[in-house]
Amino acid sequence: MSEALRRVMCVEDDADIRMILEFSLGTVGGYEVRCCAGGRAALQQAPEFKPDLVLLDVMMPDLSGPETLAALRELPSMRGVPVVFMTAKAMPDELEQLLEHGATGLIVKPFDPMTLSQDIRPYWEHGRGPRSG
Amino acid sequence: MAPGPADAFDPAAGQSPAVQAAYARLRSQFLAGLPQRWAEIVSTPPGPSRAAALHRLTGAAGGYGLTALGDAARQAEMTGGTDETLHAVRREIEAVGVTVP
Repeated sequence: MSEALRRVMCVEDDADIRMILEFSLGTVGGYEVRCCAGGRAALQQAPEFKPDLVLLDVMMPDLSGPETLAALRELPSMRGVPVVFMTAKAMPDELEQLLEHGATGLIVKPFDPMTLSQDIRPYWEHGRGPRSG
Repeated sequence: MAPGPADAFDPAAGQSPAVQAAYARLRSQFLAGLPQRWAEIVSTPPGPSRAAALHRLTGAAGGYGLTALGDAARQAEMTGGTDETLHAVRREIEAVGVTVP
């Protein structure tokens, strides 16, 4: 797998948040960014895009974040890729429940668009594992 | 970058001129879309669907430096979007210089 964090996939149903994610991770952070509007699109595009890290919204209309995460883990090329939930939920018990789905970590929305590209780095450094495909 | 709404903070302060300009463009687009967001929220009956629309506004507003609007949307979301809590959301939208019907 990549020795540097280069490609970030974002899965988010809100267009305004997708735009600020592209800005934050692409313009500010310098990463190659692929934004998907839902879980099904992410599942289709992930094998080709080969992200080093995935930022995944929790509440989405087609597939929820936890459902998308479970399906991503079934893709051979995605098994060792850190997946970080993004959520506007802020209650500690809700956050704990989300982590139990197997995410590498959590980013609470709203995020700071100027620091997000740095905020995700620890999740990649500590959360990546071997992957195949 | 161009001056923002009076109660907004500017996350791009101190960044390069190119980054500030890009952020200002994005924020202008977000502000221009607020009347449509508002129309979707008020046209949806109070309950889970309205709460979901408010949830999306909560997540987006803070990223564009509109903290007070995001906080008002979160409070409204927690009630399912009662008319009383929507008044606060409307007030915060108008506070950033956006007119809604």
